[in-house]
Amino acid sequence: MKALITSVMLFLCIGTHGFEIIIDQGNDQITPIAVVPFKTGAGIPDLTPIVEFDLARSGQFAPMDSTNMLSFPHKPEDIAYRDWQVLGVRYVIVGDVVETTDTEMSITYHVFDVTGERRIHGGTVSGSRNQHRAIAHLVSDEVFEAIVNVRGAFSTKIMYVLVQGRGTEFPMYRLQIADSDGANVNTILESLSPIMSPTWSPDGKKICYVTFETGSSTVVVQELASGERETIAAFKGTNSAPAFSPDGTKIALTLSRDGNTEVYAVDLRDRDYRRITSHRAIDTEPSWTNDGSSLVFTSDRAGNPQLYMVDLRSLTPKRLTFVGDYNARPRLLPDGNMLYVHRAEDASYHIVWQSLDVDGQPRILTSNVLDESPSVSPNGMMVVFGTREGNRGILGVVSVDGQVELKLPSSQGDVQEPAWSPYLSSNLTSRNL
Amino acid sequence: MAKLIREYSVPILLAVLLHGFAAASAYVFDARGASSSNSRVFEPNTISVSLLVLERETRTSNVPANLNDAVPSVDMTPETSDEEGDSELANEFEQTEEERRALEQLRLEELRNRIFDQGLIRESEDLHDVAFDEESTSYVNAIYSAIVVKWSRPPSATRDMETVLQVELFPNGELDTVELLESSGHEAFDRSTIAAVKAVKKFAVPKNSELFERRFRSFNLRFRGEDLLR
Repeated sequence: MKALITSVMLFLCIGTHGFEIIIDQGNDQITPIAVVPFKTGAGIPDLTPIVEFDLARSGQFAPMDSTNMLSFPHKPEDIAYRDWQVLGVRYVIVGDVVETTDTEMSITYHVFDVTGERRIHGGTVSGSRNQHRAIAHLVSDEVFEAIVNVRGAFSTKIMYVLVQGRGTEFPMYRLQIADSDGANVNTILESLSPIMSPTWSPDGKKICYVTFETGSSTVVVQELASGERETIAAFKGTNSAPAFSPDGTKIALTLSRDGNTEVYAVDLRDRDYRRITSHRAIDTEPSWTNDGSSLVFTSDRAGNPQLYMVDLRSLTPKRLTFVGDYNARPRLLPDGNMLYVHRAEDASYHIVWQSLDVDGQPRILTSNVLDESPSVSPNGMMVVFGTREGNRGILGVVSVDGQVELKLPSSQGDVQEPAWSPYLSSNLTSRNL
Repeated sequence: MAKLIREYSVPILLAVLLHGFAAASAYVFDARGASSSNSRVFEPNTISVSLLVLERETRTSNVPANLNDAVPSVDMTPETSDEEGDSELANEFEQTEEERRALEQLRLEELRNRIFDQGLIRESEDLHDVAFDEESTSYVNAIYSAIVVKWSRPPSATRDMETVLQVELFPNGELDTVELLESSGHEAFDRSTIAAVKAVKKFAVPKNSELFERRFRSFNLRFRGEDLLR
């Protein structure tokens, strides 16, 4: 009799093999990683801190202090997974930097998954020694992609307006471009009159901005390599808020040349100015959807600033925001959702995220009092924005999920209106291993 | 007398034997009939009684085990200390780091509250053993919570990604093997699910070996981040 029951039980065991538990939520954490100090030949710049800082400021990783490491491997065969498991590290990055010629250097690096106990990626990046920061950023990009499955955006740049002597008789305005970590600052334009709304062309070769050099607002496109400038709009009244279309052939902008402040799109090939909005309210700050078929803009047609989307064929605007009485400065994310500036009930301004679904609810990403001008990294992972620290304008960076927010160290003066570049072409050579 | 006995010995012996035989056969037949009919009635009773006792024993011994095992397995306190990878660079973000940790604490608290309301079991429909289900629910909840707390998704994760793992446990609750059964097609997401399971060093499992073998020796975990933003 017992034997019979046992055999029935066994049968039931087989019958319940489809037992399944559903894990429908998680607890996202910053991933602990270890960037083991790279083996570096004498006289070659150390790339370790650059890579480490890149990964740290991505907001996704917490690199461990090298003084706490139990071993310092440089090659795959030297990895002892136990060491890193004990330290709670998820990924280990090792590298070997060598001088290839008098002027050239190269790094061979590997990425290891400590939990899975295997190497997940490796590569060699080489270039000239005076490009060592760019080499490090490219390594960071590849490491990021190996771990997160999203292209890294460390090799990109950030453009912003630096104002010095604000409130004095002669404030100085500079349009500057820096590496995404704030290094290698280049001044593109210097002016005693305001510079506003800088933005990148999709290929990263041109920029567009508003200048007041002539005494009134002018929209200018400037080629970065040659410095050549071209006036796009200098009409009577307002010429502002330019934005390149995703294919780079058009610029959407705000003009009041016909009496009222409206959104236009100018075709750069034939200079055809097409009016997109027609409403007696103010319509401004256009931003393109990723397919270039529509614009999202700010309008106070409902009595206060709200966001609208307009299809360029039908020209019928549809309201997108319904929470609060101030929603402005929209920016589309690569995944089609959007960011904008939202004024909360306590009159503080935050960057918020909203999906473009029918019932999209805003989600506050930033935590300061006066956050403005969001601009998204080309991989859609991070947002740079202007904010204030004391009475100074500085740049903040927040991950697009709102989990990590940090402030970028800045030079003297007020930094404002940041614009994150698209992916830029590189002259470094990179090879997977 | 002796002659008399000798003369009648054969018939007496025969009579005694015959009577004895008759009595014995009557006894045997009667006894056989009685014992067989008794055993038909009582045998299953005694067997089922002993089974009931067995079951009751295991159940009572398991109820406190449930509670004791389930609670410590959802220990979340070491979580934040795991994440502290201080670097020289981290000092630059110290302020935001502190804020982050405070927020993190809050979020964990919230998560903990939410988790206990949700034990999600899905199983093949062909079996429904109520007693076993009631018992396994608390273990399922404990396993669910332990994994949720450890599941850190890559920022590229989206709501439509789904990964199924097959997990095998040792009777003491330690992880034996974890295998990818269905990939999400997204390597980083798959890795995050395996890492979550491996991060739970010991699962709460029933001491009742029948229940363990039936449900917790080998089971599947389906990961989908319904709480994700995208």
